[in-house]
Amino acid sequence: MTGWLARRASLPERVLIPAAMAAAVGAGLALAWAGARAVPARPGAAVGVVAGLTVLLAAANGFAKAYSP
Amino acid sequence: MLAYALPAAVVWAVVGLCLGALPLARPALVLAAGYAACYGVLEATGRLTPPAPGTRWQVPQTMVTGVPPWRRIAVWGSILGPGFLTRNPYAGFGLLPIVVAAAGGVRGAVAVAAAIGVAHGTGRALALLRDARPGAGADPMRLVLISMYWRRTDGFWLLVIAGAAAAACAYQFA
Repeated sequence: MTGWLARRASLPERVLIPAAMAAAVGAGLALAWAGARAVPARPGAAVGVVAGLTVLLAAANGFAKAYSP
Repeated sequence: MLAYALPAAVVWAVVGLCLGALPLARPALVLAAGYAACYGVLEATGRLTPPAPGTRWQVPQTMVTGVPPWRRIAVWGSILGPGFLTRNPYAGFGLLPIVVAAAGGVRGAVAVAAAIGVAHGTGRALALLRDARPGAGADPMRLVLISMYWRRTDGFWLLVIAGAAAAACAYQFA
C-alpha cells in the first residue's frame, strides 16, 4: 500500500514511510486524548482506548497468521 | 467459529485473571508503549531483526490425522484459537498480554483478555473459512508477499497503539 501511495503521490518511500509512521503515532495520541476528554470522570478512559485498539489488533493478528509462510 | 473463539476466550480469561491479580498496571502500560513503539518501527520499515517474540511450534500431524472430525476441530480450535502455542511471525501478538496486564484490576484484565481471546479466535476461524473456499489456494510466492503486507500493517497498527499508550501514560502519571 505504501508503494502504491508513493507512486501515486510521486514521493519516494523513504519520505512516505516515516511520514506514515508519524501519522500513525499521531492518530493514536489523538484517539487516546479524545477518549480521555469524552469521559473525564474516568481516569482509565485512555487505557480503555489502548485496550480497544489492542482487541482489533488481536483480530487482525489471528487472521494474518493464516498467511505466514 | 465457536470452536476457535470459545476456547480462546476461556484461555485468555485465565491469563487475565492471573495478570490482573498482580500490581502490574502502571509498569505494563509503560512497557506496552515501549514495545509497540520499538516493534512498530521495525515492522513498518520492513526490518526482520530482532524477530518477534514467540514460538515456532506447530501442531503435530499425529494429533489430527486419523481422528474424528469433531476431535480434529476441537484440537485445532483449542490450540490455534488462543494463539499461544503456535508460531507467530508478527510482533503484535506479544503486545496482547502486556495490554491485559495494563488494564488494571482483575475484572478489567479478565474483560480485556476475554475480548482479545474472542477477537483472535474469530480472526483465525475467518481466515480458515476463507482458505476453505474452492480456488482459495495460493502459490508460495504470493503467501510471502501477503505475509510481508500483513507484517507492515501490524507495524503501523503497533505505532497507533504506541501513540495511544504514550498518551495514557501521560494521563496516568500526570
